[in-house]
Amino acid sequence: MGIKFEICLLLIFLTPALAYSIDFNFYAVIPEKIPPGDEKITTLVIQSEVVTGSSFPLDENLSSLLPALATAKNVRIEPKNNYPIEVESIEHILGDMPSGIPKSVQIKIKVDESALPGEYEFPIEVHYTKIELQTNSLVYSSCEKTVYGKVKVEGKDYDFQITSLRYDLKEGKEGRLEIEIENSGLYQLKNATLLLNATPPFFADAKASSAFLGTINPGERAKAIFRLRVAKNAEMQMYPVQLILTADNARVSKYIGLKIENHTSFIVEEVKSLISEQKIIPQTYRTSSPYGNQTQSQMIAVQGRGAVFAKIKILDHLKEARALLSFETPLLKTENSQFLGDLNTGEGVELKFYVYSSAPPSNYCGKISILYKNEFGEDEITESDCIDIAVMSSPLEIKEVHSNVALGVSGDLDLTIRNPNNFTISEIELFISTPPNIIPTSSVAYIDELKPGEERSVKFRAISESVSAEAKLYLIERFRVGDARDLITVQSFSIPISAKTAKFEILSVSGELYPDSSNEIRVTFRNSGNYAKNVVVELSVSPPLSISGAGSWSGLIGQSQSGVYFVGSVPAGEVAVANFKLKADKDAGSGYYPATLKIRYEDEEGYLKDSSPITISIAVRERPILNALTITVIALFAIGIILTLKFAKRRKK
Amino acid sequence: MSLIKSWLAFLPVSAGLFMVLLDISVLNVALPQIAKDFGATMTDLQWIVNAYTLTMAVLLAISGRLGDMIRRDKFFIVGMAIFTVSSFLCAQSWNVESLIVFRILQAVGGTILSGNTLAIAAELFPPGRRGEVMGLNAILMASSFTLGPIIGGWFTTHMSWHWVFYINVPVGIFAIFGALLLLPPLGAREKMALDLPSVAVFGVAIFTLTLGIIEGQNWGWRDEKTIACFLISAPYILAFIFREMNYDKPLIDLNLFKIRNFSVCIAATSILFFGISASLFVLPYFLQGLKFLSAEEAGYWLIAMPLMNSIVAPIAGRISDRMNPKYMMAFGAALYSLGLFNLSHVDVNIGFWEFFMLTVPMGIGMGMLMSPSMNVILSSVPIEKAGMANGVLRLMNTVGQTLGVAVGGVLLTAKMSEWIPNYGNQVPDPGTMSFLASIARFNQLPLALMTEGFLDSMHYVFSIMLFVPLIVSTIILLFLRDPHIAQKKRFQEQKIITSGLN
Repeated sequence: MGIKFEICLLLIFLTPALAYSIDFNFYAVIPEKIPPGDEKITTLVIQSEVVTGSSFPLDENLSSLLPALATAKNVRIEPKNNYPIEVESIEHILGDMPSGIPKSVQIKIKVDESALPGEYEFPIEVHYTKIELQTNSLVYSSCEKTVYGKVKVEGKDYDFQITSLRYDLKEGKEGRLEIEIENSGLYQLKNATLLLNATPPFFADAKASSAFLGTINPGERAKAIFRLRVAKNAEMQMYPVQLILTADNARVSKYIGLKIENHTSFIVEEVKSLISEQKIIPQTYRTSSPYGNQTQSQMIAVQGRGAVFAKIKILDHLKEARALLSFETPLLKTENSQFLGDLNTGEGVELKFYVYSSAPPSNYCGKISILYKNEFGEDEITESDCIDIAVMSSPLEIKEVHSNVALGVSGDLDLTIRNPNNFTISEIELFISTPPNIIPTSSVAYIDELKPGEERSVKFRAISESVSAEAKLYLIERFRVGDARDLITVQSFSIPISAKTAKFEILSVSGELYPDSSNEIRVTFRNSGNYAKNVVVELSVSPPLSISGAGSWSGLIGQSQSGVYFVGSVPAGEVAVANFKLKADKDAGSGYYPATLKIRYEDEEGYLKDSSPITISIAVRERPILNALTITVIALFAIGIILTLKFAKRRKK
Repeated sequence: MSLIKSWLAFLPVSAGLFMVLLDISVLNVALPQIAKDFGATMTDLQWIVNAYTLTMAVLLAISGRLGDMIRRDKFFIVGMAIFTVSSFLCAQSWNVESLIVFRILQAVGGTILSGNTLAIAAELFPPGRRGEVMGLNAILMASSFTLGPIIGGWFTTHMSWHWVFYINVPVGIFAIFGALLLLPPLGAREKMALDLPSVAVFGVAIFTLTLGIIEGQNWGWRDEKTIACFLISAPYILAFIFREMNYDKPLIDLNLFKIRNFSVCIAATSILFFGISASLFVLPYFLQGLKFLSAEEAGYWLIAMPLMNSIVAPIAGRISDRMNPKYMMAFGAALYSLGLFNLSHVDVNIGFWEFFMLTVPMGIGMGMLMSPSMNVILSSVPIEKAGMANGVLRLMNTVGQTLGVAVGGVLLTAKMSEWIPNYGNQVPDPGTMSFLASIARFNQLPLALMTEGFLDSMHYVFSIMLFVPLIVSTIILLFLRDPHIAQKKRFQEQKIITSGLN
């Protein structure tokens, strides 16, 4: 049972004053009972009572002086605290108080919640002025008296106390609120329901905004769980929520304060990133088929694969924590998460994330998140602020490029690779990607380790199938930095391609043709370029010249005829001869006729090449009158004539 | 000798003659395969053919004369043997050069056969019965031209080109044994030595003349080599003429040309051969090149001529035994001209039967002309000169034939040059046409030019050559006498001489 408190105020009669002196007694009354823990604004009633001495003259002036004498003037009171009573100490001015006429004043009284039921007093200082009748005058004198107010402390009929409050409320997240209450009233609470009345920044979750507690006897406890969602960007401070306990015959509400906490349970101390940009490089396929070799090329995107190293400090106890790294931009994707286990407050953790980059070089915002289980066993996530992640070009520097790759000639590609960073890069695998017109014959190189500032040379080999001033190649690098393995970067470099061909110059064309005759034509030429092997010289002529022994199809369809001659190998600077048998048509007039030479050869690497067409002239001369045929004809004709004459002279016998 | 025995005796002779004549046309079909096997050039192939022709041209007159001087039957057998053995050797040849040599040897045997067949016929059959034999001779000549591609095509396709020569061996053996058994002693009517200077001069003259005619088309008619050939042959021909005129025992008795009918028929047949060869040499190119027939099929398309000839020639020959063949011969030449006229309008799309009908007059005309001509020739000369006459006839026919091909080629070339710029003597043989057809996917002009050009040129050649048989017809009408009257007169003169001697 609660303790009822009656407040009664006993006024202490003031003792009489000096002759013809009067005094006052004050009485204070607080009619209400206040339960422990309550704070109430209550009414304090004060009444004064005049008290006179023994020889108080009664004369004709007394009646007119009596009101003055019987009024305590300028009364003011000042309540004081006295445990467990706490009074808002404000001086209250009551003014003149005629005796016997009560005055009330509102005061705030708070009873300590641990106060036991009973009566308690608290002093009230009363300051007043009394008028004393002196011989021929009125004397005003200030007086002070202390009266005691009594407060009866007694429990409520229906009340509850919060015995336990657990919650985990974070800005922008849904949290859980676990409350244990005790029936601190005097009577049983039947069909008690505890409701949570939340106001922004809290939003009660419909799933758990009330709890039915059943019947709670005085002194018994009951638990209720509520879920609350905290608005985003709510300030990290306490906010009130109202708990309303309703029962069959009671309704009690209390306000409690809930503090919104910052969800970050860790801080990032250090971040280092080693991510490079994506590059679009050519990928060339070369296939062989009965119809010949085919080259197909397509452009592919090679994403950079880098690593982010972070050092974090844990600010909270986190269970089964896992670290994640995310980015605002979709061009950066984290490959992995990291399991950290149980972390204690103050613990430092090193994180390593592998990141695929399609992003151009720039700085990007990344966020480290730690997923963990809260005290309720539920998954919670805590996020860091933006951390600066830089995407750069390759950490390896191509310091020098030397190339002697040439058209149709396999050449070396020497690259000097340097590590300009302050960390060691190891297990460096290098691959070159070439455009379709360049064929790599040796495209892989390896460097075991490059310490900071160290440089190393690597060699590749390639052949160019066409001449270009500058060819762009790509160096794909895979390496290890610390624990981070298989980091991938791509960078480009260019090399000049030159043509290394044999060069032929015609020195002489000898041999003459006569109309309607065949003769040998010798073409002498020199190779003033590079070494050429399997040299084949092709001579094309048009009517009235033709290749001896060739058919006449070409002439019929208006094409020139070709004769071929195999020369063999012609080293640089050497002279060679090609022989052809040509025929001049019988109607060919004397003069010079053009013919075209084309020289086909293989270079040192075995690549087939054709020289540009070279025009030469072939002379057709008039046949000398006296030749073997004419001499024979003349001789036979002469013999014939002689025989004719001889037989004509001879007569038949 | 009874007629039946004469016919029996003539059987191996006609077989031998047919074999010789067939060998000329049958080889043409096998040439592409020979070229493939030996890697022969066009020039090599031409010499495989020309070596035979040249040798025959040089030796024909001589062989006929020799037959008059020695035992013609034995001479025939020797000739048959040489032809048979050389045919076998041709089949065994290992390269172009060896084939050419054996072809020359084959030509020697062929000359002996060809140069004495008519003379043998003249000796076996009396005047009045020679017409039929001449008919057979004409059949053999005409059919060999047509059957050659058919037989040669079949052998080349189903066996090999070697069998073109091998087939001569069993026929030759049959002919040799047949001749040994059945031929009576013939010839040896003029026992005298051969005039070797005449032979030499004649050989040079005919060789150079024939060479110039054959190669003139390839070298060019204004080429120095061509001119050289004609230039050399001219004095040698003159020298030969003077030699024959002034020598007691001439190789060719030029007095034969004083016999009117002999000269007329020699001229008529030679001119006809000229006209025939000048026009007909284009037909295989038309059939095989433009119509894309095989050699065998082309032979079938030309069957009308030998077929009609086979039917008409014996009849015409028989008629010529009994009556003056002058009008028949003249009409026959005119019919041949009609056939050439028909061919001067043929299209590429012509069908078999239409072509058959167009060429029928040519077969009939040949039959009406050839066998009576040969009958008249042999009947107009003394029997002891039969061989000589035979030789001269064959020689003149060969020269006429060769000249006809050359002239026809000139006409064709001239016309083709108007169609095809830079025309280089290409003809639409199957190889050329296949090539042009393959490039027609990209450039149709060469194929079109060749087709249209050759067709137009062929029409041109026929339209020119159709006058040649008409000239023959005119010569016959104007100059041929009734051979029966001449014969009667000769018998009477002989009788008078004989009685005078008695």
